[in-house]
Amino acid sequence: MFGFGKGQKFDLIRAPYGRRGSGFYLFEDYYLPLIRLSNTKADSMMSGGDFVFDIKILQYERPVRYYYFADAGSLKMTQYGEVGGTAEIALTDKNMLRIRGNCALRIELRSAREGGGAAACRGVFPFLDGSGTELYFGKHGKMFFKPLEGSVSVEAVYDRAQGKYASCAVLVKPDEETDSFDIAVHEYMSGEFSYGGAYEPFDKVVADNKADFEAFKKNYRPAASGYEEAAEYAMWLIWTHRVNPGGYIKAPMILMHLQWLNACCAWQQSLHAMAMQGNPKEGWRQICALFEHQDERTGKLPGMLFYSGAGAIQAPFQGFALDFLIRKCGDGFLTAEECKRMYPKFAKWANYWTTYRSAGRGDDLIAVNSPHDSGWDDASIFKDGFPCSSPDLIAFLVALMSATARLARGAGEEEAAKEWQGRSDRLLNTLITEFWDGERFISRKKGRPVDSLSLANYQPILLGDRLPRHIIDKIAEKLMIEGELLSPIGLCTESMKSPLCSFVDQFVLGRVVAPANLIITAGLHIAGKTKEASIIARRFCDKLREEGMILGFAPYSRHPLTGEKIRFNQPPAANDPWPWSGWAAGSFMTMATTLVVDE
Amino acid sequence: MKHIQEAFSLDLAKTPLARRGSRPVLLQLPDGCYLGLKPAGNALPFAQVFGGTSSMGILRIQIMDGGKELPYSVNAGPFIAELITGKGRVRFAIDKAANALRMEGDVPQLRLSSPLTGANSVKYADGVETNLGGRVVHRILRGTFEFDDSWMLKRWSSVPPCLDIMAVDGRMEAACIELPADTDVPEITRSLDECAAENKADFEAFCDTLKPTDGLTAYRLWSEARKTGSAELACESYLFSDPRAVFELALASAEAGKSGITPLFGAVVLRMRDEGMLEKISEEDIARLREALKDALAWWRKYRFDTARGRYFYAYRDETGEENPQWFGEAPVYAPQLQERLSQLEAAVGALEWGGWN
Repeated sequence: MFGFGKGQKFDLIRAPYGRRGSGFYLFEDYYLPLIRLSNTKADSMMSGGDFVFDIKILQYERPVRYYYFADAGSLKMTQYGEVGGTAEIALTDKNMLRIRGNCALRIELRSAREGGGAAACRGVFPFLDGSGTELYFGKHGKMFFKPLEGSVSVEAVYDRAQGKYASCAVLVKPDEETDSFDIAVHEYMSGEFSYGGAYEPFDKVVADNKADFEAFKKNYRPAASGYEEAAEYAMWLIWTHRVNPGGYIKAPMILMHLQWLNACCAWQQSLHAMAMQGNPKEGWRQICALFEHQDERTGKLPGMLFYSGAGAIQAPFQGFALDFLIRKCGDGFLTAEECKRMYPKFAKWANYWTTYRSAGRGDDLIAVNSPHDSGWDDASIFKDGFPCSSPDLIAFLVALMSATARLARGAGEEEAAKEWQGRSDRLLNTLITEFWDGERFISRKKGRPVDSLSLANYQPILLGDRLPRHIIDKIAEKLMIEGELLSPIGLCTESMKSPLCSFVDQFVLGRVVAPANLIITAGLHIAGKTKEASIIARRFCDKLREEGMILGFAPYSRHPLTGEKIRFNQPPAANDPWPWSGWAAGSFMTMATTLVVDE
Repeated sequence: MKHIQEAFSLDLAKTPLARRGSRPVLLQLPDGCYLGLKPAGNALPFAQVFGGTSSMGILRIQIMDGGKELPYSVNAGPFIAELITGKGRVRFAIDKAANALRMEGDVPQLRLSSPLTGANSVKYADGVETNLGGRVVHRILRGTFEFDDSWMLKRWSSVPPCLDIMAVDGRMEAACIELPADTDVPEITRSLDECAAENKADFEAFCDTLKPTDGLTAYRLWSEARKTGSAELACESYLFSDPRAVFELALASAEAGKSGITPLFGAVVLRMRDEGMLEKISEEDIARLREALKDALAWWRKYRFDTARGRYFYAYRDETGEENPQWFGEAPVYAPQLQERLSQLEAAVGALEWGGWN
């Protein structure tokens, strides 16, 4: 049975508990046997956020130990011992959660920062009409506690000398006659409490959550044999990371994390689309979501969107994702109307790169001044500095131009389609003639080749069968050499023969990372190297099946070149190896449903 | 500049060389003078990955000779500042058109550096781009320069920036231009002295909108980053005598204070009525101000009015505009000064609705 907690494969220490469209999320504290509550719109908890609450079950006014079980419907906490007090939390997509139970509950504000205490609290206001109590948390928004059955009171002590709250806790008590409580907790980042809807029966909320998850699963094809349970967890994680429009975010998108890097990252939206082959129309919507934020003047798409704003840019993944989706599902979702709508936007985005990231040669060759533009933040392809023309980005742009041509054709713009395809072909020719050294693709800093053993050098395989056969064969050959890039758990992002290879503290300088493995294996697959793609994808999927939806892993506990024992970071930590990530889950779903071939 | 009679100098540790409408500043910190940038609004999460910094000082300025740092004295007026050494001097001014800190001098070498990492720097043929605290392009207009833009792979950053500008024929000149991403670097079309003269003229025009005050107060109002808080904007309006200037501040205060903050702007509007300022404001602008005030009044009446007691109340300390009001107890708090502020707001709305100033 799918779930988290007692008797289950996974718990909520590394995986957060959430729901599609809910800002609230919960998780298990690493040190204490406690469920904790936060809000992804408000803060980055693992970066030391203040907006975190302990959920305590009380017996005779004292906290008692409990266990929990969580699934898509709800998270239920049960007290150990014969009293068996329970509290059950159901999230919703209406900026509200519900809690019911038969014991007293204490929801206590305790910052993730050592000594932070109740720093987030800025005030307590019981509504004059007695309907509930509002708590104000400054930049973290407000919460309104409404008792539907039982009672709610707030214990908050303000330290006048310090000018802040020393403590803040919400006490929930069962009705004395029914011995049960049922409360609604609303959250809003700005404005005033305005919920005028009904409070549905708790069981219906739970049932609706389960039904919503089941409906979301229809976006995906079945996983290969042996990966069905892992796929359930992956789909659930993606579902919990799907945000509704709100704040700065204009379209439903998928967060990278709930409790750490709580941003909708640009290229991740398209990566998720690749997996949505059960509903390619939804996959197309995912790809298009970022374009709601396109800069009118430059055509730029923001790289990271938070509830509070956006910034940076990321690689133009959209063309690759669209090509993959069409190859797997056909192009029925690309109606003439959609093509007309999106062709100008794609064109503007492609021209952004050739204008604002131009290598200055007068053609479409691009160069970047920051590795963050490519997403390979610490890849050795950038070790010689900037400006740098890197093969991964050039390949993405080739694919984007080709996708733009496809949309132009669908929009009835034949001349434009020819022009865009021509640009794509010419840039592809540049990539092959100037950036292929016979063994791998290379980067160039101001024209000079960069000597790098990064996996990024092979990323142009994402162009699949558009690459010449000899290049495809060479790439497949290089990637399958054990002990270089290929490890028992998938492809390392830096060759293990490289003195730069590092398995800690870096992102793509050695670790085996989900999106890198996804891009490469998807590329091998559409290049016709389905066996190689399957072997690599299976290794990585096996690791995620075992560990959960974690972004990246060290393949060994000792450094392959020196034999030195690796000193891993002390958990828990706000870094890639620790919390579950929507990005990993999205990568898994494409690999497990499409690239892993049943043997 | 009819109200400002005396000349004044700047203590760059307290009052940076700056001007309205431009972000670059010259300021002094305990370890010397810095190129700085005025704050640009709330930083996004994880801004430090892209060069975000909480400090206003970005690059430390040093004067060098033969590898050794020269001590300097500072002589700063409101429009030109100088760093003076035994081997020459460097002059600074703000270039409004280019949004730049301009510098020129006859010292052997000028160094701009920072120990901070977390952003990328790029070297070009005619200058350098740094991304600490904001995107700044340092164009070398006269002299030669050295800059190491090596990338520290495992630190996700260029090496700490260190720009050395060497004089040629005894002269060096540079412009540190702050600009948004994906915009072209503007041409430098004016001399440093022309920039200073333009700033002086703009400052004098600004002073004409003020009540009589001292030069330093006027300079701070003119040069500092624009305030955004409703209460701050309302309070600042009392320093002005020009109807247009007062109106702009009243409107900004009202729009920033439509909810959740004691409405000080009501009194500002009543002042405008009583001093005949409203007559100088267009009907269209009056309408904008009226709507903002009505929105604020509607909010207080809907969310902070106790119909049983017939009084307004505060729900939270932050609504008072005070840092840590000791008189604030458990909500709801029925404060006398709040009743007064709302009376003023109601009267201001009435004044704007009935056109009583005509």
